[in-house]
Amino acid sequence: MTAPQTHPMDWGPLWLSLRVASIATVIAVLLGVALAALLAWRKTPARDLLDAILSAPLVMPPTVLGYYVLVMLGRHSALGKLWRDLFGSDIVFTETGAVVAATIGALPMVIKSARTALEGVDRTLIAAARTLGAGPLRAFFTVTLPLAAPGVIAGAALGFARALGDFGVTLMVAGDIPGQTQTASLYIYDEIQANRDSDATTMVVLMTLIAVGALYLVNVLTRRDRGR
Amino acid sequence: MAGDALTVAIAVVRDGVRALDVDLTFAPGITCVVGPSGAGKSTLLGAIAGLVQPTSGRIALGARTWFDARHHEPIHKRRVAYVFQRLALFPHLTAVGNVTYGMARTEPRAARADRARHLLERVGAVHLSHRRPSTFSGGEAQRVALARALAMAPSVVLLDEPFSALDRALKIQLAGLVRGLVDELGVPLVYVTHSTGEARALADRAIRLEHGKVVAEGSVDEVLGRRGEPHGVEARAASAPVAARADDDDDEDDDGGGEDDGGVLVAPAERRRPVDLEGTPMPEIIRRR
Repeated sequence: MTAPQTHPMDWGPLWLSLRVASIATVIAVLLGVALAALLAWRKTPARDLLDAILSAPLVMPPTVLGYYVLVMLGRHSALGKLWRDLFGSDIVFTETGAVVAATIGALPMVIKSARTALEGVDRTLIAAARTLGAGPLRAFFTVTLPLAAPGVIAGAALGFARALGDFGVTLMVAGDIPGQTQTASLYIYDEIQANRDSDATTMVVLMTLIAVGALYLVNVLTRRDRGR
Repeated sequence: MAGDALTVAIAVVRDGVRALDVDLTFAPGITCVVGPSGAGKSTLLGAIAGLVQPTSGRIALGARTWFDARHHEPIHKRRVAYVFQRLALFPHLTAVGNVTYGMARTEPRAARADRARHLLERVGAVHLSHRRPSTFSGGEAQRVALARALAMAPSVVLLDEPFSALDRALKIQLAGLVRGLVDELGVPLVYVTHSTGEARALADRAIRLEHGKVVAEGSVDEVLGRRGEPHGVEARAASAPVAARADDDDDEDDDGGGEDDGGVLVAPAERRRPVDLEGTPMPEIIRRR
């Protein structure tokens, strides 16, 4: 018979996960929409190859992705050193590393969804904007992007849910440091390992509610947008 | 006021086939372009607007070159008002938002909105000002599309079968609006249509395209034939008059006793008579029954 748990529930990992996933989603949307526009543009060279590279995180093992990030952004890499010179801290094994890991997970979700949405915009509407005096950028931001917004929002929600649940890449890049880089996913793993199933279950339920809630909200928003 | 003439002397080659090979001058006023499907009519409009890049040749408005071997004027700098067959109203913007889209952004926002409402009033669509296109009827959408195109102070106006989906009464009303607004602007208007009735009613000149080439060019009567006669070019060809009129046999405007004879759309000599429409004086082509 196990003794009743007396230590309080640690909410820090949940707040860290929400913060990391939110920042990662913003970055993934900004970067993802730009990359989706590049992929949707017919004149982009080697579009299929670029698409394959950007989609690879969807199918590659987290250890492989984590390895790439460690090599490219580690303490001894050029980018890692530049980051340290600029901000006085490392990328890996910090919260920044967790954001990088979450962004890698979210980015392909945003790109896929945004590209489909951008390519689905009626080309005649873009042509109409151009004949009405809009340059390519103005046509993109005033016609293409607003009309593709439901798809971009859906991609952002998928990306957020994916970023929230990242485990493998985060573990490789940011470690599992309680109070610093231990996200909710890592916390659940640690609690299970330590036989503290009750805390793990609470976190599992909360993570599930947040993810399902985010996706449900997007469904409602996009349906409302389509119906306007 | 009279604007510059538009010169289009271009070839468009697609997949090794000459989709278009023309040498045309469009003077200020309305030029109708007729011809069967696939004749190159929409390609011609696309090339003028800059949406289709010709393989060779030159496009110029007055002395200003839009396209030649060394230069391709960007679409957004040509100021070509293009009313697409599918209208292409922006679904996320209100009627006012659509109409102000092409206006110079140096003008204050409130002034642009005022001008848009004034234009919408002229085309009889001011009640749509704050509504989105998904709520418009076909005729309402046409009116807003016309207002949007003409709001930009265009140098050339292109209409691609703009009234094809409308009933006859709306066609007549909107054709009158087009005539009046273009007379005011004094710019070349190129009007693609399958309807010889519309062509006769609106155009100053006509062009017939077939297989990407001009097969007839001149006055409306010369190109389309006088009412009740075979079309000029087919009459001259004198080879198969029945077949030659085939593309008009399904044209509601050319049916015996149709609107030409019914006096709704009137002959060129009569069509500039000013008529008050929607409370706004403007030259137009409608003679009320």
